[in-house]
Amino acid sequence: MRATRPCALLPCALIVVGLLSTARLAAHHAFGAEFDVDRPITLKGTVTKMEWVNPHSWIHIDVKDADGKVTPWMIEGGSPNSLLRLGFTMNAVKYGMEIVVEGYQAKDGANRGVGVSLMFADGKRLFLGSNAPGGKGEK
Amino acid sequence: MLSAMLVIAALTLGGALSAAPGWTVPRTPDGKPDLQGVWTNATVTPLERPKELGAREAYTDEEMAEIRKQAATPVPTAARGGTEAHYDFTQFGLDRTQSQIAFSKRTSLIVGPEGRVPPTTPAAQQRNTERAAANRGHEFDGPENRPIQERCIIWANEGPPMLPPGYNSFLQIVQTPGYVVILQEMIHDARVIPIGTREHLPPGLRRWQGDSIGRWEGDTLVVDTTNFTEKTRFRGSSENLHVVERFTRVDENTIKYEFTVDDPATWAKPWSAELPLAKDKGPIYEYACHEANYGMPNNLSGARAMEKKAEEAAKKQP
Repeated sequence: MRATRPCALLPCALIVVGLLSTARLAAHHAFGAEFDVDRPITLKGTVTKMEWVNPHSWIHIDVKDADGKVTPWMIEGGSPNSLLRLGFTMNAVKYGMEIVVEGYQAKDGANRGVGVSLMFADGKRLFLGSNAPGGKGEK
Repeated sequence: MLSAMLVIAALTLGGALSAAPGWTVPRTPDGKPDLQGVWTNATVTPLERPKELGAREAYTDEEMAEIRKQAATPVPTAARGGTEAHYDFTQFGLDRTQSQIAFSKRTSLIVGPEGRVPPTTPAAQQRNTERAAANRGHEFDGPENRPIQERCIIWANEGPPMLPPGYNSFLQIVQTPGYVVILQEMIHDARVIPIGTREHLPPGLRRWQGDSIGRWEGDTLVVDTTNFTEKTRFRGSSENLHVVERFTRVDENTIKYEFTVDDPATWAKPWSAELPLAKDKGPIYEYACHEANYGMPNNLSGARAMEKKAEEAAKKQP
């Protein structure tokens, strides 16, 4: 049995305020204007380039369809400053790696998207999941 | 890190930070308190006090233990709303458990019995309403219509006054005789503050971060800032915003950071806040925001696509 309910000691309002302030600040850009929540995507592709750039990192992948046709995609990731600080290095994503992206496509229909979740083919999280370096954020 | 947090916790009895007994402030070669280093202002303390806490300014030790526990517990993506649901926060390095937090026992960053931003004046309400109305429907016309934060000009919480940006909440202080420089990682600005060498710039000269001049009052660095642009708008403020910041090193790992903001054109009265800056091992990283601001063209091309879609839908109407 859990000893403490979520709001037992801490005023619930504080929790809500904290979450709201994070939500406001989380995205550098207006998500709703850049990406389309009605266009969820799941892509499997091989990494061709990783751009360690702010305000967001971008991973370039080649996605091959059933007929063998290759389409390049760009996927938005986290701020490299945050990733670096958490121990995620340049060597973590390499040319030719196969990754799976779950996210949302750009609103203009281009082959760009936001990576809600980025995984290796075996299901391990690419960034900062429990199996990634720095996953606990310890300094 | 843990020791820094414990020190902060020990010093925040009653909510206010004070100098550690028996501790001697380190000094620069010219004898000033040494504020140099990399610091974080990441916090879980809200700016305004939750209303149900009334005039209570500090949490008890028991409540602080719960706050620390909560800060160390990730929020599942499924429990998040809005934009948050679109990112796996741990993958984006945005989860609160992934940051060092400068804990404070305060119930709000704003000090005083009210613990909240004073009411906005009717004139300010009208000004902000008119401004919002003028931009309504034009938010995505071009880059100039986007907030200055998205344009990589200045981050909303860079100030002054400086509030935590939410992630990459780091700043570096460098001192030389006659100057103090404050570099904020989000989103790159370095504020060069002359100490005791000149008055404020003439009123005609306006800066995104205002014009900061400093002086020492005992062992506290006091920074006075005026000459903002009308586009900077700290919580809807006017260009005549006046900010006074106070930096006091209270122990090896903590600077007490206080500020008072005054703008009669915006608020009924001045208001003040206090938060700790906790020492971080660094380094601070460059945040070359506009160098790769793909988000800006993506936002605008998204808007053009939506307009085209709406036009085509309108054509199909009988």
